[in-house]
Amino acid sequence: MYPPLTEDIQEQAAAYSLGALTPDEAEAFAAHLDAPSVVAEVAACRAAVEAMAVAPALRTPPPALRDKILIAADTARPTADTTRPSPAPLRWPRLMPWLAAAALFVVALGLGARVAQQQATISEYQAFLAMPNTVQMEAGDAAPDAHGRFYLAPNSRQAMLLASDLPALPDDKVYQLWLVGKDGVRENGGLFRVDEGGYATMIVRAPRPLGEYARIGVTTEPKGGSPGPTSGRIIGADLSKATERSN
Amino acid sequence: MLQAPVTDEDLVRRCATGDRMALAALYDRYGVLVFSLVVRILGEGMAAEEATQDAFLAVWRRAADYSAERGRVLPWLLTIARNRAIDELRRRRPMAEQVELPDDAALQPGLEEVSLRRLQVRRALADLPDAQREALELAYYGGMTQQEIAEYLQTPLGTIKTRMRLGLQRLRAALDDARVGAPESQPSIHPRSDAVRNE
Repeated sequence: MYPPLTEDIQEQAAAYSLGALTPDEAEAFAAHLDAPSVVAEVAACRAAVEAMAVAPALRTPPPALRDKILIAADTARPTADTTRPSPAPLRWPRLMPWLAAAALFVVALGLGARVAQQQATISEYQAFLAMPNTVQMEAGDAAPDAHGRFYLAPNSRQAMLLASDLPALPDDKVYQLWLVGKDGVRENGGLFRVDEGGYATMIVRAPRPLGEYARIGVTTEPKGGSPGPTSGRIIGADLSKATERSN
Repeated sequence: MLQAPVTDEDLVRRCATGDRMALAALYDRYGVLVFSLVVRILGEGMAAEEATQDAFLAVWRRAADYSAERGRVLPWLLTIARNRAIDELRRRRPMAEQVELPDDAALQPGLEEVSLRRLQVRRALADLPDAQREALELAYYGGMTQQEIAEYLQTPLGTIKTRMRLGLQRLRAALDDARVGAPESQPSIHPRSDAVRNE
């Protein structure tokens, strides 16, 4: 009644389960999926493929990722209209239960002193999520693997910098962010350090609205920072390339 | 404070009601596994973090649609993470358009078995002939079609197809044996507790 499970069908089932067919090939193969033997073969292949998902060497995510996900979840409810909200004010009514829960959680752990910091982080991340524009920060020659992302609103003095894969620095050095005006003048955008994974998050409070700057850059400076950059750019971006965020 | 064990399915149901502590609990259970998978695909960095975030947010958004008949939570989460990471990989390395893996997951072990299962899968993959393992890995972690793998390895397409079929059959057999042979109450470690930066 149904064709036998030939080697050719088995090969296609394996490639299909691995996602290694083109859309046309996959569609052609799917025509065989009314045969129970083929369905069973695909199910068995897929179980083995899915097992491969847990095989990679374990890596610890950056500690800030957990908070980022939880905060992003607040703006990602399925009930929310898919049209973009206008640059959102902080949504305290929805935030409050979470803050209360977080506070209880922290107190329960005997870490009451962290609550203030937790609140600051959450409200600041919330503001950053409302930032309408983002720009990718590219590496300079000094650290080719370094990269980052900058979240901003042109009419706001606040922005957020996320940096990844920056080299570790000795104790007497820091990273310094520079805000480069359209006249080429560099203003201090803040100092930061990276964790052992080369990752950093910094809230930026600029002297002027971000729309008045042309570029941003990060350099390595002596501890305490410098009045102007004294070394090559580690990462940087042209702010005219900032794009509207898609979600 | 003692609590009854909370299943993954319980947590997804709580996510559907907007309970963010449930999402936090899911992250604490599986954040390391999801992140490790996307780092395997994309390398460490911002893109891996974003793919991890996307996967958890997809579960959060679609929690109300989740039904236990569709399969277990972990494979669902990992399939979403793999698809997001492969999407990103293709953006970086434009290639022929390709189908995604369907995310209606089949049966998989639960939380308590994950660590043991990881060891079994790693052993089974390591025991494959190198050429077969390479074909499976280029497809699954590399997001390449069989044709692209053939070109990349400068090997006839028919050979790649055979390697994928034999490799997957061997992997299936090894995992079935491992499951049958594993004692029921094998002690296992929480996936989070054996997390290390470099393994």
